[in-house]
Amino acid sequence: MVRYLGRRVLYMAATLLAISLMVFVIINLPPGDYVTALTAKYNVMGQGLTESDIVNLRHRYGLDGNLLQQYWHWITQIVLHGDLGMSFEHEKPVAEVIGPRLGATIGVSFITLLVTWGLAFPIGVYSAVKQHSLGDYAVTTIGFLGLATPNFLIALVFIYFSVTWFGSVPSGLCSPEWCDAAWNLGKLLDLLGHLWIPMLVIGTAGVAGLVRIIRNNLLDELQRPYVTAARARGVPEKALLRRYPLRVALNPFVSTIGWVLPLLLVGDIVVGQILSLPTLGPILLGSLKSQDMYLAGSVIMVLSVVTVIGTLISDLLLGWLDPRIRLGHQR
Amino acid sequence: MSLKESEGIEPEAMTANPADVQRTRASQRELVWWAFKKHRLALISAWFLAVMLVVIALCEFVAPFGDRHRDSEYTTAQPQVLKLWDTDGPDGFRFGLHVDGYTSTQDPRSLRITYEPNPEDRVDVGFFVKGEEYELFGLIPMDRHLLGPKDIDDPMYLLGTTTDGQDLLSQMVYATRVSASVGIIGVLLAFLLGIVFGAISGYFGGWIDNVVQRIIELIMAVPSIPLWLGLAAALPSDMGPIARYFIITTILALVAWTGLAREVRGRFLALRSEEFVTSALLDGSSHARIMFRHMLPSFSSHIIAALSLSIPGMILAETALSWLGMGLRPPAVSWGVQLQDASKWSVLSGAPWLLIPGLCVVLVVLAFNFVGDGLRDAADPYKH
Amino acid sequence: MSTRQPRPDLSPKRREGGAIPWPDPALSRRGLVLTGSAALTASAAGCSWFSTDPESGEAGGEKGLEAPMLAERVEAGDLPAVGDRLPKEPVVIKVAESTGRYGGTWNTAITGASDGPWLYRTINYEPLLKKNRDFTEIELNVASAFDINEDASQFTITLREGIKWSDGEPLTTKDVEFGFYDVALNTDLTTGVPAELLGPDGAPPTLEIVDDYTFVVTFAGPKPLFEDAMAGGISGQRFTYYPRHYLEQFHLDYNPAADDEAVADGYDGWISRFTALGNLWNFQWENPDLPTMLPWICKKPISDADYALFERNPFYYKVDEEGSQLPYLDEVRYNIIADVETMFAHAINGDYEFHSRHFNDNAHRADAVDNEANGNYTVTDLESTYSSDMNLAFNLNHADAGLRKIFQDKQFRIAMSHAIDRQELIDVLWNRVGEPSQAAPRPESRFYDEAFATQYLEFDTDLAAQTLEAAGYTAGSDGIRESADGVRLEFTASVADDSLLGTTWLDALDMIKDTWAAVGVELHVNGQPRENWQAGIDENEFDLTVWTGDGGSIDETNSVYWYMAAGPSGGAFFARQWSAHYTLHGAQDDEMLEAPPAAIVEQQDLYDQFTSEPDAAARDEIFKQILTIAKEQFWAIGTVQGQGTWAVVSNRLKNVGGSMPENPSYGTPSPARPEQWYLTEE
Repeated sequence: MVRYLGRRVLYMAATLLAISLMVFVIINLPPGDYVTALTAKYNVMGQGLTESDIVNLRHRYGLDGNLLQQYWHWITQIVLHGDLGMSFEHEKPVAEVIGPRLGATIGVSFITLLVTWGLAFPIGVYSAVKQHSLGDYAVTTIGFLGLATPNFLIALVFIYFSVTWFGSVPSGLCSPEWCDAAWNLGKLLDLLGHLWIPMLVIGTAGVAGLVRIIRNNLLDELQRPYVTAARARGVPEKALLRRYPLRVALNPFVSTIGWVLPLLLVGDIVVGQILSLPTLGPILLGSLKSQDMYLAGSVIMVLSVVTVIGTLISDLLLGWLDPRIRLGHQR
Repeated sequence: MSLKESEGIEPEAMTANPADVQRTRASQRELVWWAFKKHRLALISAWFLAVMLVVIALCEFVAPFGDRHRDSEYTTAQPQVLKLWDTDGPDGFRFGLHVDGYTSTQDPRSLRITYEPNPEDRVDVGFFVKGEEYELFGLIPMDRHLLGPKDIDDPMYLLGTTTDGQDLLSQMVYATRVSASVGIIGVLLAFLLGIVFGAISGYFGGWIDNVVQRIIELIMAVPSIPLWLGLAAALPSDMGPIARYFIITTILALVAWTGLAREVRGRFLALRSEEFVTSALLDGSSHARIMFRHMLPSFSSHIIAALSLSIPGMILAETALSWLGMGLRPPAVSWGVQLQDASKWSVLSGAPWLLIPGLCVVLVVLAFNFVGDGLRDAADPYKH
Repeated sequence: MSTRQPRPDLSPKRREGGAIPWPDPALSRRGLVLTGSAALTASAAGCSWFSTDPESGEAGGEKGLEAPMLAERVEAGDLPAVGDRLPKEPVVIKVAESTGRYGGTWNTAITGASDGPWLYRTINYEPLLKKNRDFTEIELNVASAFDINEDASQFTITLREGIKWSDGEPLTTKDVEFGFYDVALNTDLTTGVPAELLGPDGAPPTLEIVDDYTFVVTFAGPKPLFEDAMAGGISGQRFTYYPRHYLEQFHLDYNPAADDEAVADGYDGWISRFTALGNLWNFQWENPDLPTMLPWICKKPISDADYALFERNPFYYKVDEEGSQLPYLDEVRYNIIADVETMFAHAINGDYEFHSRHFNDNAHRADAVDNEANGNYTVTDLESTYSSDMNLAFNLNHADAGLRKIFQDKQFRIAMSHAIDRQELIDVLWNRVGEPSQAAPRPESRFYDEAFATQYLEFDTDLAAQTLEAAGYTAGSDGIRESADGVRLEFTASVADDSLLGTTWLDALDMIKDTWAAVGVELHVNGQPRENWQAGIDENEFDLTVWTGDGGSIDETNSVYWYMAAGPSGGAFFARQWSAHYTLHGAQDDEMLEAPPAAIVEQQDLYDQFTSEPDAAARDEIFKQILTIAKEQFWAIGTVQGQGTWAVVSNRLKNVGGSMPENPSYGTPSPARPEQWYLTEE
């Protein structure tokens, strides 16, 4: 197990390194670089930069030298110094821009993940067990609709109803009175009041996908011979369900952390923008629009890191859950 | 049956019913089609998509107005109801396809313009009416439109107008062409990449497989939307809409090919050890010939199913990108661009018909999903 | 009314619904601390976790000479008494409607940390001098005396004695010295000396410190507009914005370790740190430690959370007519809402007390008005001051010689103007309310010239086509015209596409594209983020661009860049290089592609005369001559004067005073004196 873990961690490091290369390429795609953007900004303010200023700045940011040297400078800055560069748009170090929002991003994604699971699991099981019933059709239809509708559309519709029915505009994660207050029940309620729309909107696609997967897997399992045999033996339906098929159906469920987590993080980009959540999504969007490439690259790296770690966790969980994998039977 | 007729008749024909006989002699394609037909939802969706493809091909003909048509008198006007008859004529009952015109009033303080249907202002509507000129398929000059006002200056806005005074129905038809084609072309591009890499990876195995798999994992490890956004952000903003269209499609494909590659690889891996492959090898066929002439066709229906299931993702991605402002931009029109216009408070509260393109997205995505599901079920021999 | 009061009587504060009874002020300080802490412990021991009552901001409070929240701190010994905090002669502000009461929070919104202008316009108007609400008169502000010599070349300025920075340190001429020598004239920090500090010879003035509060600024020649500049938002703060006692530590000349410390803190060097923490262009909400003289000081910077909070400045130097220290409002809160539509939804829900930016365009007007009752606010119209809401500038300094020649051809511009259907633009994009207008002063302006404002406005494609034909532009095989040199009339409009600016310009250009196509001109529209657009403009890489017509009224003589090749922020869009030639006095002439023509030079010479003419009436006459040349030359094309923007004003917010101009130089809403706004219960 330790060897497996060790190998995976090594893998992960290699993957992240490769991702950093890709991200670096993306960062440098737009014409110009940080220093050109800075020069333009200073010009607007009436503070021009002289030629020697520009050369100095280039050197300070490691932007002189060829692409490989620049990459080396960038990656060593991150890994050795934790310096993610300067955000041109916010005029402060990238770490200071991302840092405060990281907690909120992971928090919202994590809670949404839990809620998604909590919803998808019983619905999927019900749908498989009571196949072709009215409930099954209803669930499948809603699931399809959820998958097919762009999430910003869902968000817009929710906002509209939130304002016209409840008179409250959903934005951010806290109302003005509560943002600074100490944690008490009231603050928690306020947080939930702000959280339900993002959770619903971001989680919809995830729930729909998961329900489908559970349903299909469970249906496959329920057709296996051992289930028929158990039924013939007289095992009650509920116990039967719980003992074997469910556990097996759980497997792919767990492995979906790998793709559900990035889905949530990514759903946050659009929804975070509409609802002004204090998460990374709006930051990424803003940085890409203004070509603030250090910030954009760093956010993409952060998202990738979370994704890769998520995949690792899901693989570990899968290994723990499924003895077939643990004992080496891998395919 | 007389003895004469019994000559040359195969044994099964005498005992079995004709349907079963047909089935034993049918090609794989026909088998798949029959299984597909049983899937009601998939069949309906397939018809729906077929209609959509026709609409796309005959875009300029189907749309009542041209894509640059703008009517400054009727901005953000609500949809008109198409009527077959009315009772407001001089003699009472009148028969004829028409819509009611508008009267508009403007509130002096809020400057809001409200429209009321005006039964006295009757706008005659007809089929194959003379309208704006266009070139069908870019070649044939025509000026007939499927449905439109008999007098080209009259307002016929079956789905209302946008804030700029454009006919929503016409705009949606043009947007359908753009959005659906981005999905289809993008998937085809991804398909090409995926087939090539997946085939090589699955067929040869070994270190080639390892390398390609790692690359695929790498691309999949980066969340897709940020990757798209990152690539789209690099595009110079003065790129013409057509160039932009193709580049966006390519960008979408560059990220999406990995899923297809994986599918294809899996199939190839499974089929590698089949006998027909070995025999083709022994026969002296080149690798390429074996891969693309023998192995690929054997699971072509699976590929088609996978393609259909990928198109929705591509359409949703383009819609999201354009809505965020990073994909297609005005004056190019796609569903995403239309929805961006519609994402204003004033629309949600006062002009909800502008959200109809969203309905388009949902319907088309659902249709592709159902068709893909149906194909996959039909192509899977273990299902029946 | 004397401002030296005996220590005011602190009557017990009535706190609404609070659990803690306010201690009797007769208690000694020690007793206060004891009872206070006892009360606090008692309440903390209670089950506060299950309470659902947020700690609400106080909207009540009676008026005294200072706000109750400050009175508390005085009582606790944290603050000197109000008499000691105010200067000897505080500035007295006349209230617009009624005397206010203390308390309340002004909620408003911004789109992000870089959305600076709104901050400037709301709370940053504390220059040496200030203008009245009509923008017609100049009054004293931070300066208690401002003497001008005969030919307006020497200015003797006295700072108000006793004004203190927000941390209690006094404002003296030491800060003036620092701001002048170590910031404005420091070439590391400020590459170009600001225009307001340049004399007619292009050199900065001399600064002579007379005593702790008086200083003399002497220019080489007359600079009559210096007074006006000292009443401007940023320009008037050049001398009094830099607290020496705080900023010295970041300045290399005073702290040799400044560079290393800056790098250690994560900055590039001492310059970027100084800029981030204390320079005018970096917004005060990033640094809560920066001492200022603004009515509200930063308590919670924007980087921490999704809002920035400003709290009253205990050392603010203004009082109302009853002698009570201003401001009335306790706090200003800037919520970060990235999406303008969401911001709008908040506004119509009544969440903002005053807001006049971001969403205040025609598209949102209808919903704003319809929701007035629901949100308990009133939509207040603001007076537009633009010559037109969208002026088009062809780049007469274009790098390509062929295009340059075309753009410099007046007949071409005339034809293009005739090929714009302004009425259709009004009907579709301006809610059917508006007037066509060229880039000329508005009817309200004293410089209004009807001929200038209405020339070439008629929409006539035939006339346009004839004009082009006659000027030598003949149509090619595909219908697009070419100049006599064979250059196609095909170009791209660079447009700043910002959520702030809305899509009106893009939509308008899209419509213009069609009408121009009808006369054989092909237009492409390129919307880009504002920074990219700005970079393109600065590097002279654009064919044509659009912007609001600043200088239509109120600041015609300041924002001159639609009338001539000069003006702030790089000058005229239609002639960046000629503007640079003028503003930088020929410093960048090697980059200039073509020498400016006689008309441009004449306007620039006239402007030189203008800036050194001490008599206001004579100045106006000179400016009229400049405008006459602008009329003859027809440099830029105007489109539509629309309804003007509007502000959301909560019905609970008083003393705003109704409508006011909307203008960047005006700095809406600063001249309406937010420091004397107050909130009522309902």
